[in-house]
Amino acid sequence: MIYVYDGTWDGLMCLVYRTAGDKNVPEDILRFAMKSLTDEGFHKGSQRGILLRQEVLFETTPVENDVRVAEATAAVLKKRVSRQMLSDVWFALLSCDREGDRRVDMALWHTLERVWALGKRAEADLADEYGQVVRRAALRTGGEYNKYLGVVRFKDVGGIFYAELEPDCDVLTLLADHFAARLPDRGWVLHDLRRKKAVVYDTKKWILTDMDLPRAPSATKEEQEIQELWREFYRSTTTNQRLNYKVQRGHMPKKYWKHLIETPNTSTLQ
Amino acid sequence: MDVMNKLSILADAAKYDVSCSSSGSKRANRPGEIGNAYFAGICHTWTDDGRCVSLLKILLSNECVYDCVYCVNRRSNDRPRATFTPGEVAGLTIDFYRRNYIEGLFLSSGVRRSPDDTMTDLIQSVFILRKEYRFNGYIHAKTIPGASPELIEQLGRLVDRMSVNIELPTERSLSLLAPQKTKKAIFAPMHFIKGRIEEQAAEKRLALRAPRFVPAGQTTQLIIGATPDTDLGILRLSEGLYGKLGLKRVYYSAYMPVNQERDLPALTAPPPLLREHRLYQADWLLRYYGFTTKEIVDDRMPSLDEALDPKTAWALRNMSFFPVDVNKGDYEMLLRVPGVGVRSAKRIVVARRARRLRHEDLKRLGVVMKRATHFITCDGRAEGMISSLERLRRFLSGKPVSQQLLLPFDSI
Repeated sequence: MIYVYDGTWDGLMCLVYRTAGDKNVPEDILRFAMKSLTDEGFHKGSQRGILLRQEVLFETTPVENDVRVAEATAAVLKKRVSRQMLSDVWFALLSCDREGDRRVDMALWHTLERVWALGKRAEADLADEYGQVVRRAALRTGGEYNKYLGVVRFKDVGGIFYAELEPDCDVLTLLADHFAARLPDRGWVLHDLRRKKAVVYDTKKWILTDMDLPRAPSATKEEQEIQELWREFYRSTTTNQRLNYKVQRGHMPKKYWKHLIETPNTSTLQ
Repeated sequence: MDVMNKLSILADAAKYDVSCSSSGSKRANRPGEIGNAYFAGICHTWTDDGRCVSLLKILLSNECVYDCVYCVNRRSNDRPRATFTPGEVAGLTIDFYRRNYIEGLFLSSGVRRSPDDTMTDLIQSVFILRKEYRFNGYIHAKTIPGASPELIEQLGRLVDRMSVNIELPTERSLSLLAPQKTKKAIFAPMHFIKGRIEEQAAEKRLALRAPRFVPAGQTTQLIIGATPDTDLGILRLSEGLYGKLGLKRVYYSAYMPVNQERDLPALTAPPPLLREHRLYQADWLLRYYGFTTKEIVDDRMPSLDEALDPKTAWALRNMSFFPVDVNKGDYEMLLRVPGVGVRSAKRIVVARRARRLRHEDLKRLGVVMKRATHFITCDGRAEGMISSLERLRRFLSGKPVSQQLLLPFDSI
């Protein structure tokens, strides 16, 4: 059977519960392409979207979310696995865009099924193939989260600090917790342009909301001066006798350059 | 002079200090404060030299009464000089921190007037940042050799990490290139800081709220290639610094000639980057892999092999320890296999409880099989196919090895 779920933590818990009830090993696991499936159709040009739709039309079992089932399942799971495993599962879920990644979803299911049956003994089996897919996916999210802890650039747009990002993995809420703990005394906005979502923080708590702006808010003159100071620092702290663009790009791939203030890869050898 | 010009001069003058980590402190934000400290440290960008920028690394002043031969800021150099006011340093740090450009401040200085005067200026900058702006992020400050213990104490209570740069690994090099500094002036503050860190740890066991003192520990830097000092001398020094003085890190900085001098490499000489890299690898072996300096370099062979990383070089000199069987070997022995790191060794120890490991499992555990395969067996089975030590050495140095006569390793 092919199961379709919504790609959230609750959805995954309901999926595990459902397959256990069906006594079934899923042939495949797909995600509802979220809103696009129900409201507006698939967004144009998405190969995966079209593929998904055909399968959705023919032979799938949708998994309905039920918060009570999800919580009960999660409660049992938490007793059976380590914190590390829970965090890996959570991060692996976030590693995908909204259409999901079937390899990751299948690996998640198999991994959960194994720890369900065998408990922590299954966790020690680090050479297991599905376990490795989950770990890799979790690492991808963790890596991108760590990178964004550093490369998020806020700008003062009039009392509010605003930052744009376009992450591959869904790291927005993870980042929200970090910045709420670090910069609690001013309002700020983290805007995920890819998913058209934003976290808005008002000096007390943050909320997740849809956001789609026609153009980026512009920086004040004072803000531009601070940005120029930062560029000057970035230039001056570079050692021109030992340029190494390869290492630079290894640490900070080009996809992160777009929303920086400084401009990498512009020095000349001395 | 405006802040822009000062920043340009004083960031440029500070870049020869290679330390840039913001790790080792974990501190939550409290109401009314700006910032917190993240234990693992955070890199905020990478400059074109491939190095990470984590802290606003600047000098308070590049004026200096000393005339150290190797130093770009020495008194006799004709360079533009600038000095920040303590308020400017604090303001810049806050402006950058709010925008997530940086993790905190790394403040050093040339020696103006006297060591104590310079220390007082450093303390004032950090004091404004901590007390007026209520900045709770990371601060790394340099201690000026020759400063009085009371001032080191004051600074140490405000910052996360402190460092004194040894720069020149032997007293002979020091007297040649930095005649106004003495070994005693450099090591006295390091011993003082070590003593205070230990006292603080003892106080903390008694009272939860004991005032903190450099919670992220102390570090130092050694210049590589400005003097004829050997890798043996350098690593022996590092081993002592980690063991006896409890340093968190020793940084190695390939010397970039900035002054034309009889006792120094020519201005056109490139910095010895490969040697620096090998020293860092050897340093890691000392800190995380249970190696001693003796095993890495000795009197007969005082320099690291540039063609091979020090762990592989050690393994090739000690083939009697190999092959190690991944299903039986101790953790300590697994750590010594080239291509196996701390993380993969730990994973092997866990994973083999669940099942017998085969060669094809190891890659999944993060082992670099290109190197490791020649030094391991899985339940007695070997897959390394290079027939002599000399050919293996060539292969691991990245040189071409002909395909003829490939035989399993244990037939050597």
